[in-house]
Amino acid sequence: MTDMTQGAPPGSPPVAPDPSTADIDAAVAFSPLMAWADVAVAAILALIAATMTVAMPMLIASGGIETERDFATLSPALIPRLAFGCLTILAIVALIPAVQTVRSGAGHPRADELGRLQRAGIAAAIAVGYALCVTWLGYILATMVMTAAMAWYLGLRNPLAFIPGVIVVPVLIRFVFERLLLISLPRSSIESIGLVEDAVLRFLSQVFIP
Amino acid sequence: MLETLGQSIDLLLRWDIYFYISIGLVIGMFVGAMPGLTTILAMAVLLPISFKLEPMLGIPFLIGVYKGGIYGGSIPAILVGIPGTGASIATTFDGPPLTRQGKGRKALEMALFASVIGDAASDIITLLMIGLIARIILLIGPPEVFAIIIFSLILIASVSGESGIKGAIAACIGVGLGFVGKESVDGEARMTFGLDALVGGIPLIPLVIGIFALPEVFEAVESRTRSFINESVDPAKSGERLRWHEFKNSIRTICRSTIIGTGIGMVPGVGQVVAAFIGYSAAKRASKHPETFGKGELDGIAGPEAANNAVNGPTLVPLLTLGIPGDNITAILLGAFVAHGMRPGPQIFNEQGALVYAILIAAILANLIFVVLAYVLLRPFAKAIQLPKAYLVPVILALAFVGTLSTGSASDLGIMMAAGICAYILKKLRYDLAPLIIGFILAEPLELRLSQSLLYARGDVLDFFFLQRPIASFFLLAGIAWIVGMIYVRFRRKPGEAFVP
Repeated sequence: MTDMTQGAPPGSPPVAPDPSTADIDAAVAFSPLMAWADVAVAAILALIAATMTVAMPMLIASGGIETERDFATLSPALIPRLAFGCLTILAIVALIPAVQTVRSGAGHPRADELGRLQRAGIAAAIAVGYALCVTWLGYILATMVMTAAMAWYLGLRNPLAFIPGVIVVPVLIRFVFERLLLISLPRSSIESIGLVEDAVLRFLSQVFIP
Repeated sequence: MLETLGQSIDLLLRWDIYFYISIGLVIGMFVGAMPGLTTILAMAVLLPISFKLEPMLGIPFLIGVYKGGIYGGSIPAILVGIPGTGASIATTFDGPPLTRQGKGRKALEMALFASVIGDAASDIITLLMIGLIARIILLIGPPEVFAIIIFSLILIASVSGESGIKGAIAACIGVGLGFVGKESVDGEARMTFGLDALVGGIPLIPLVIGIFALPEVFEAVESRTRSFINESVDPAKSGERLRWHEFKNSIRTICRSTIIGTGIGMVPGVGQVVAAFIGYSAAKRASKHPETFGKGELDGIAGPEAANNAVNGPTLVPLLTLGIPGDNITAILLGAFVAHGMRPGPQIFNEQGALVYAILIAAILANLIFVVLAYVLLRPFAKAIQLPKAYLVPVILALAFVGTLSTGSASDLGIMMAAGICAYILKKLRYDLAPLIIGFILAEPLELRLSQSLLYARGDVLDFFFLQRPIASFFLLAGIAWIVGMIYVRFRRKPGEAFVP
């Protein structure tokens, strides 16, 4: 586990200022790791775009309004092919300086670079888990779990500091969206949890909606 | 006309008009500030409510929602880099850097004043020149729209980020993704890879939320700062208000962007997104210190915000004079006009001139109300961003999911997550993601207008575009000149020198 004490709420031990990621990204040259990643992404983009350009006619499904063909002068493949063709050329153009950067060995490893990527990866994992659970557990319970996990990971250790928010925020969001804006959010597919959610929303409706 | 204007002023002497405008503005601002909730959605939901009101209350109420929504989108764009609406994508360039410097409130106030001035000025121009604007609109057909879209894409790709090539790559990816699903001309499905979910195309809102919200969340977690504001910023100075001299320095930018937005507003189907980018680009090019753009420059807020709001006035012209809505918002307004017994078209000024002018004047006055309302409501937003990230990040993530779930199905969450992770990687490699979304939005109209233009051309494409359609040829040649200029500047630039298109 990486050191996350600096994300802690007021009252935690003081720590040295740390510039934001965006500020660092804007200020310095690519690290060797990022330079390699730049090459890889440009190469992958060039490869995918070239494949799409060549294979585009095979990616058009049959159907549509056939009689329209008599009037239309454009093939459905033409403009996408042009777009992906341009992308192929541009990705190759971007690949050249990226390879030169790697070969020249310019740039220095950034302090805590892997730690930063690891923290972002854990945040992404929490978000993916949230996306997978939201239809099963329902919006309210899944959001409670995600909020608690994220707040804990970001350094909140005092349960009294985040448990009220963990409970109130998802219930409030679902109530506002469902009962005031008439936009439904996923109800838990576990019936016992769903019944509790319904009861809470009914109670809030009786209190706040005349 | 003066007599009609006099009658319309009589219609405006009622307090309840301003009450309903205020409610509309607050609702619009709230909706615009929520990623995933669109102004169109709010107007569609509130349309039946407006039917129950008389025309002089119901239509200004909807116009209030529209105006509030466009400004509301800039609030999350400035504070956390998540555009509440497409119109505020360009505001994400300088908004978050200003927030990190503790100038979030300054940026919000600059956005407010620029929005209100741009909107009010374009409304006044519309009111005074409605006949002339209608005649100009009639000159703009599919070839002109196609040429303007091409020019806009070139401009947007070149102006954003530090690398024109990476901006162009992002725009091409966006255009390519925009072609997934049913083709606009004859409905043939493309690039669906056998997935039924893709036949309708990639949905915009999960894509926008994934591209803008998730990378912000991941970056917020990866950085060790306690809040979104840099810890080197003096807390006493964080949350400072906009000073008069700062606003005065941006007046020229606001005026320029207002003219740009009003001009773009006359082109049906192009809209606020393109206007905001061109406004930003023009502000950057005219600046004495273009290198500060993207790093926290107030002109970078004033430019796009004045331009995207200045689009509002002229978009009403084709609706009122020809009965043709230029976009989805004006289509909803058309529904409101018809439901209230008004028939937009050439005769509307003879039949119901006083009412139409009264509505246009109410739209102008709505800006004055908005300054007061928004100025009061901005304070809690500016304060909220000072909370620790441990509180804000989960809320942002929960709202991002709500935005996706509220407009689509749970399967859209997959699109949002995939877009978010790819966007994070691209952002780390300094690809600007705004051209990707603009390319995505403009892909369909681009193909449709080109297809229509080729039908008009009857095989003689060059002669048609360059001899018969001067406006289209102007924009196409300007686009070519822009690319040539970029290449020329790129090769003349010394290492380390900032690129200014």
